[in-house]
Amino acid sequence: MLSYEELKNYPTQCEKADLQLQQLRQIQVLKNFDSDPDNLNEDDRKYNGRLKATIWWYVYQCEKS
Amino acid sequence: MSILKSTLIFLSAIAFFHSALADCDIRSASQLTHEREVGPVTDLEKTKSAGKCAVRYRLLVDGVWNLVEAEETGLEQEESLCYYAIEKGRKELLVGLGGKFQTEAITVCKDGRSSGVKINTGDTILEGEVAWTKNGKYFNYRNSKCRLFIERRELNRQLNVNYGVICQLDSVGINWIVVDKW
Repeated sequence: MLSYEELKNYPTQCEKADLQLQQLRQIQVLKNFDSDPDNLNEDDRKYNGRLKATIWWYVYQCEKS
Repeated sequence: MSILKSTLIFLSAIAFFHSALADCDIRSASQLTHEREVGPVTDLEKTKSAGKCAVRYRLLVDGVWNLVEAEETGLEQEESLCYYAIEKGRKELLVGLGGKFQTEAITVCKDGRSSGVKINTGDTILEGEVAWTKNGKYFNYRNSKCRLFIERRELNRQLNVNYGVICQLDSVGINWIVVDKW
């Protein structure tokens, strides 16, 4: 499980998208955060936010759909 | 000016309609759109330094060459900042050139008290109901046109900022769905 700092410095690379997304989505499943961020405490909100932003980075930046 | 007058009269009529029927909720959104022929970035020059990228390039818009200069600062890698700076320059140029002002509105009537204006995952909305993120752009996700959004609301007497993704639901482009929010 990645710490918040490790997540913040996650070495996103489009070339490794499949492998990295697998790891990140596994964390999502394990953490099982509420889908409404307003229902999360401060720490969970930060972690969930960084996790989702990182996952969406691949869609946003890499040439994949 | 007559178009503006018509729009104002139309919006006033909607407001009157709203006050007369308390069970109806009106959603209205407006945006400035552009219909211009824009060429690729040409003669691009990048100047990178720590946490900053300045760009200078030419852009052909409707057959006229424009010189664009922009810069972006941030914590991302310099090459990403250069990308954002290019987009920022292009956006500022096109906004400066003007365009068409589009307004869209729908009226939703239902029993009971209005549920308020909070946007939730799974909601169907008008694109203009949610703000663009800084340096935002459209992207493709599962064969749909999508974009990031930012939502600022008051929560427990504090400013609460959420981000999310909306995607077009139909080819006409009126309805968008909130795919994710964080």
